[in-house]
Amino acid sequence: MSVTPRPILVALAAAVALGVFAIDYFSSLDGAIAVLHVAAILLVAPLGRRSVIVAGLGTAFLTAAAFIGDHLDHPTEGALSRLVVSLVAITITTLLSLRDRSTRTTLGEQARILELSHDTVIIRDRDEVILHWNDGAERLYGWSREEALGEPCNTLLQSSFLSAEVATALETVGQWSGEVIRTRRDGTRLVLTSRWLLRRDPEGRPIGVIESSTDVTEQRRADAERHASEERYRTIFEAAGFATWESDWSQALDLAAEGAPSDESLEAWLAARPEQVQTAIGSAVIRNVNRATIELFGAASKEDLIGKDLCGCYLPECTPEFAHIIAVLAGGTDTAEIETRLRTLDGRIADIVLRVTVLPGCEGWSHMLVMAFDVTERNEARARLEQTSAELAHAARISMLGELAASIAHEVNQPLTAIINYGKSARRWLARPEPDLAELSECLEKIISNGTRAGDVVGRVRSLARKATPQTEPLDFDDLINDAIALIQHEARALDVVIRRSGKAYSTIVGDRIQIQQVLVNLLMNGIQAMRDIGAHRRELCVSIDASRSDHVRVEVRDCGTGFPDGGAMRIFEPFFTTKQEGMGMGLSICRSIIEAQGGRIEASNNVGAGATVAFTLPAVKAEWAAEREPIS
Amino acid sequence: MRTGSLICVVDDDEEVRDSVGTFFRSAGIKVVKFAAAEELLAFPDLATMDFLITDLHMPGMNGLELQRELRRQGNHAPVILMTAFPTAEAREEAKRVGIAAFVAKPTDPEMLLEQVNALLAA
Repeated sequence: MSVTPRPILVALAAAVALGVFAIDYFSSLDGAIAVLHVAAILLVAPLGRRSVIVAGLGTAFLTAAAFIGDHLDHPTEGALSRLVVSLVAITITTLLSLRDRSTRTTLGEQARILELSHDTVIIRDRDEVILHWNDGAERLYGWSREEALGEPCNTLLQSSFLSAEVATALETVGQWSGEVIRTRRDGTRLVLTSRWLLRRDPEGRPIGVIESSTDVTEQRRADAERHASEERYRTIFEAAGFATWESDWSQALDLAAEGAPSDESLEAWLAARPEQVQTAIGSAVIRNVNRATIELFGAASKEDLIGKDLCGCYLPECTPEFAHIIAVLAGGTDTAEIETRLRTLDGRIADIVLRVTVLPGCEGWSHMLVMAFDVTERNEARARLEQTSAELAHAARISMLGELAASIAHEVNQPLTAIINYGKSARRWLARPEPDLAELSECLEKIISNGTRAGDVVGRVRSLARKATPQTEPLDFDDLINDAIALIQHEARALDVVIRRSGKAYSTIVGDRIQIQQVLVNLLMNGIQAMRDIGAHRRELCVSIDASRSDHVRVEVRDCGTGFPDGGAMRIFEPFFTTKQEGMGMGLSICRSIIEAQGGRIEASNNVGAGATVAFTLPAVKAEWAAEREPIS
Repeated sequence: MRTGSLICVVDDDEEVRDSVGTFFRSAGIKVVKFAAAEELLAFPDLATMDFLITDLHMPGMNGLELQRELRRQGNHAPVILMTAFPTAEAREEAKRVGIAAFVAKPTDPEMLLEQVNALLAA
């Protein structure tokens, strides 16, 4: 729209006003010439309120001035009435111009609002031809206003909507809102929510439609994706191979921590109040379960579990574990894990690892994810393995004692021989005409000490032969080594082997006494036997303890024997691998199992000089642990 | 039995050695005790030894080797061999080298004494 510049309009208006004044004042025309001033007012009307008011007042002044100059000395009735008519005309024109201006401003603002809208606003005539196309439509559809105006809307945008429904709605209620699918200029499909209003002429006849639409393509896509994601996670939840369920623990924390002092560990406090923990656990209600949960609990369907609590399933002795879970979660950690036992709905007792996670974004503990891994079979297998290992170790000890039978017989026979000799000596001292009581007493002392000696041998053998469940206890390592050496002492002597000891175990070792002694005896025997065929060479078996490290104690058995054949040092711990003709090859394999089960390591290597060294380590225990378990004397 | 007979006992086990010594002492016979064959061989009065009671298994020289060594040196004192392992091989070997008696531990010292007396009386 072309706009006449402001100064030109003002000048033109002033010229008109002055022209009218001149004619009014100087000519003797008999008419209301001043009425023509309205032309000046209309000329400045587009310039604004102030211009209209100035023009109105100015022209009124000129009209009055012309009247005063021309007719004041002889005012006629006609002149006065013309003045009044002119002033009324000027006033009316001024007021109308002011109102027209205000209406235009409102309309202009409304038009601008249409443009400002992010939504698309399209006005169509009855034949779908586009009459208005706002900035929003330009941006969304990709067609410029010039390209769109005059085009049939549904063809341009390949619209797809429920046309029958739309037609009915427009006809009956004059408006429709719903979803429209359209195509952008670049071919992209768009989903829009649209609101259509029927346009009518002043007589009420339909003349087209004005519509406003919002692009919801991205929202629909996000919705679809969220839905797909929810479906996916639901499937994962359902199909998980382990039991998992969602619970509402909203009241659990309040119930558990009710009355808990702030200066004490919650776990310790709860441990002393099992009934409070059980009440808290009983308040947890299952929201949803997966298939594996139904199987774990031996339930018939989800309904057996959803909406229920698991109070009857958790065993009373497992309350401390639940106190731990509550305390850990109350401390702000989002996941806690325990191993516990539960009674299933069909009465089975299951060992489970239970992991509880506070789901993000939930109020309090309203949504907790619980996962349960049934480890019953694993625990049973582990127990069976432990039992089998213990039995195997026992069998190996018995076999080892069999190898030592001759030595043991000798070790028992020596004190027995002495006992008999002293006994018969005593009888002779007593049978003398004058019994020698001092000699008799000496003999009795010797009988007692040799009896004790024989008893010790039997004790050592019996302890090694004992079939006991492995126990963990603090061990006096020096004692253990002395006992082991005593058992094989005769064997060593028979082969002229000298046993040397060095080092001392300062750290406390915990482990199973019998099994560790078994390892020691086994290594000592192997060392002795390795030196059987080395002729007149030095025969030394060195047992040394290295306790210089704080975390473990290392025991080394070094012989001067024939050493391992090439590669044998690596293989001697394998079952059925043996370097002895009469060996079964199980001894060291069992030794390795024993040492590793107690957290240690065992290794073998040939010495630089003659012979080989087999060494094992056992973890040293922290002083407080040992102190805690030492008997109170 | 002759008084003043010299009887020697060799056993690496102190308790056994002492108990044999005590028994013979209670029977009125003095014995000299040695912890190893080598110690006996170094005994200055070895030539006058009338009787030897020795263990078979000992570190260093064993009882059979000791007997052979004595014979080699021309000492023909009778020898009683004691052992906690009375194997057939050991018994055979003892017989072959002319051991006077082969006894299994635990030994009855009265029997030992009888044998000593019998051998010394012979």
